[in-house]
Amino acid sequence: MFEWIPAYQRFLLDVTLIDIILVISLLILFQCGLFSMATAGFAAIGGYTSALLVTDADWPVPLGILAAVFVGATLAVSFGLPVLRLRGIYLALGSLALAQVIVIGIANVGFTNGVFGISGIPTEVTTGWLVAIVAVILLVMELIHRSHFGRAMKAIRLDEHTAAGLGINVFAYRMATFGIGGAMAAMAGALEAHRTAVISPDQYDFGLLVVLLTYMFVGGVEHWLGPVLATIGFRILNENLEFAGTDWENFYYGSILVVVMLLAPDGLTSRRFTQRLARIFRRRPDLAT
Amino acid sequence: MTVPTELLQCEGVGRRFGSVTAVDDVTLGVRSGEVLGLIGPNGAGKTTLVNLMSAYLSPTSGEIKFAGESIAGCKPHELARRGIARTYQNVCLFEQSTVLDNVLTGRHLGFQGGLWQLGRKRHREEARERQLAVELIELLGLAEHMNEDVSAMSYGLRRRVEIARALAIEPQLLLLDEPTAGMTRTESDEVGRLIGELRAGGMTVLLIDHNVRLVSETCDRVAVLDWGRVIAIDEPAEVWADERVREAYLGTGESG
Repeated sequence: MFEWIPAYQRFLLDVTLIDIILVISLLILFQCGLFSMATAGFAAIGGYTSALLVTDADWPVPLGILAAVFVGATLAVSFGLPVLRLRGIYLALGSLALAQVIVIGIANVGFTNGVFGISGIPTEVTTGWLVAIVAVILLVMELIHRSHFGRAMKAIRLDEHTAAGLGINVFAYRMATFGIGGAMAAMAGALEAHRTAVISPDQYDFGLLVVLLTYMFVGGVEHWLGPVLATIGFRILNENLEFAGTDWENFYYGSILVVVMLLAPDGLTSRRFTQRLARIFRRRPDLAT
Repeated sequence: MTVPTELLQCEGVGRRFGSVTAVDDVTLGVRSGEVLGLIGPNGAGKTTLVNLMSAYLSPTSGEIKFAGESIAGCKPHELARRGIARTYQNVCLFEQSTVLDNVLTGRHLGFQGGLWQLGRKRHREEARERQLAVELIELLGLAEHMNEDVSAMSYGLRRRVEIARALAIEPQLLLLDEPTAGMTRTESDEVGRLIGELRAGGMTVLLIDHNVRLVSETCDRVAVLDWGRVIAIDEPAEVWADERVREAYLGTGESG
């Protein structure tokens, strides 16, 4: 379906679409006020689950990806029970530790082929698949946003104690989003493995997390459109700036993040920032009445 | 005359924080349909008691029953579901959201549709809930502020938004923690009138307030808390005449 796109552009599109899935898997946690950094870990779990099942056990690729989703959700829910008792910076640290344990574990056991990773994974994932999956995810995100579920998530993000006083089951919402986030990250990992044919633990280190957090914070957590646009924007920047792929890349990511956090602490699509922009561009009424 | 049924009962309720006893052996009933005032000097344990009644805290001794059933082990959201709504002493609104958004969030329990319910049915549900929220906003006299950001509003208005949001869960029992603090006289008179209307509509209200006039005018009974204990509970006039109440508020001539 997307064969008319030149190979390189198609590659860029694929990479961006997988990044979008990862960013959304992080976003839904933040929309519930969960500062979780476990995404990279779940992505690694998903990638390895599917890669191993398909290469070693000869499972068909779609089944491998489904298994990855299942394992990701199960792990997220079982880790969520202890980890979600933490709040704020403690949750961030706890979930980061979890992600690191997963990735370091993968690098140090035999059946995953350690730090060398796995190569020769069957690649069946096409741009068409990715477009369809991302479309479904974004549609669901929009449905959530427009429903009372989205309102409840926002309430939890803004003030969880008050939200509870209004009958919102904060813990259930957080468990559900943690599970869904884990499942989505795992799916992204599996899709990536079946796109590139290789997987290794270093793909899922702290660096990936920094990139995803940058996309999300620059875009803003209020609506999915912000992080999606930020992901696309950063990809375009990355392709057109000469220092992409060099050490300067991290520098410009960091600078953009700092500047955005100063100008628009809630992201570029936040209501606060757009209203401020509107005020600046609107002609100020004459104050001398 | 029939014995009034008690909607909320505290039986020997106590709450300690370390070595401090904030609420000490409180036995108190809120009767169905009444407005019960809860007064006491600062630090008497009023807010702690409200936190216990809304399951934000659990008692270290004694038991609280709502509609005849114990609330032990209940989470705040379960209690909201059972029909207890509250406001907070330090006004807890969802900031950077509109008045309508705040009140609509309070309608959370009114929504039944799942995520997959689409089209007309979803639209109808949303419209119905929105309408209810708008009615509450009008009831609180906030119609002209409906789409304003609550963060930019005055203290008195914010308190009213909070009351509207609490009413949005359609509670049987409304716990108001100093609803008129920071309000002008006219504004607090409005709140008094509103409480009267709610009472006429059959709601049970627990009102914490320092405004003696408001409490006298709106409450059927008043309970006085001092050092975590109920020192008097009676009709307002009786309570003001009570020697122990005068002592708690004004002190005695003796030192010590």
